[in-house]
Amino acid sequence: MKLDCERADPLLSAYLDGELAREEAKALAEHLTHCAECGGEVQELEKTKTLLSREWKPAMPDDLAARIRDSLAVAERSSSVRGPWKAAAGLALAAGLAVVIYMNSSPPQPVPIGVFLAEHRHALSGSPLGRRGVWSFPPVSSESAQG
Amino acid sequence: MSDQELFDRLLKEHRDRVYRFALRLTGHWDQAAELTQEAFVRAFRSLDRYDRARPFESWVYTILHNVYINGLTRYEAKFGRSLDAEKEEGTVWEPTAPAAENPDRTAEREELRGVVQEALGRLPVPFRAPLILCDMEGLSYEEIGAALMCPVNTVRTRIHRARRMFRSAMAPYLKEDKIL
Repeated sequence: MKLDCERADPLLSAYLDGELAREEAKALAEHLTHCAECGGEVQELEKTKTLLSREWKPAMPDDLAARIRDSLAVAERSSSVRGPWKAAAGLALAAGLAVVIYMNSSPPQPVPIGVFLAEHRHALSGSPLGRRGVWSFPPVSSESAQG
Repeated sequence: MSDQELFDRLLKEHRDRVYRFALRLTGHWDQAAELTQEAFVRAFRSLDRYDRARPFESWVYTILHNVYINGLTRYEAKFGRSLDAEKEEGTVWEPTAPAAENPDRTAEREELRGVVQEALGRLPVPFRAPLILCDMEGLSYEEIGAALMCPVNTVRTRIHRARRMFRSAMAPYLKEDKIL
């Protein structure tokens, strides 16, 4: 396997990082023995790599680690609280569905408006609000009471 | 081992490297802290989906990188302004760290750190991320591919291009022969 500069160039960084397959590395090494331009490029890339690798390596601040612990604890608590509430919500939904199914299976008979109003007037007549007239109804004629 | 014990152990083992990745990726102290927190919390909340054959750190890198990519718009809206504008307020990356960490640091060295971070920040994220993991954290191409969810050949190409971009971004300093 013989390399020219065009084929060698994309391999230079991987060569530097020791990431080439043995055959590629061997071919590139051979190319570098007689190509000053590619050799110079490898040196430049190596300087870049060295600069970055020797850069300062800050550690995670302790207060951030504590914040992460806290936020995870909060997340766990909220998920454990969510469990019983989920069960309760499921029961409520089931009960609601049962009521809807029951109501649909026996639809209420229509009540004449006169009867409806008369029932309410009767129910409210004993209450303080009814006596004060706040919830009073106009008199219902016997005709409208018949529907 | 309880979940809390497992969490403490994994956090202790991986906290610094994950934090540094976030710091280099964002170039912003606050954003790095938020991103690291988000990544660890997400990782622990979905431990049941974690493939135990895979290094935990690689998995957290993946989550962190995805959160960063997906949330870039949200983060920019929150932290919003240009690097230079924020730098004036001292909220963005500054080479100066708490003195206790590096008491012997020279002013020149501090300046270099800021310059390096600025140069990194000019690289598009798909090139910045693998370069950080390779040159600053020493991961292999395969490990980087696993962390960033891309093929090894893509990692190879991006690292090569990223080094050249980084060198161009550092050119004004290189010309002064201060650094390399």
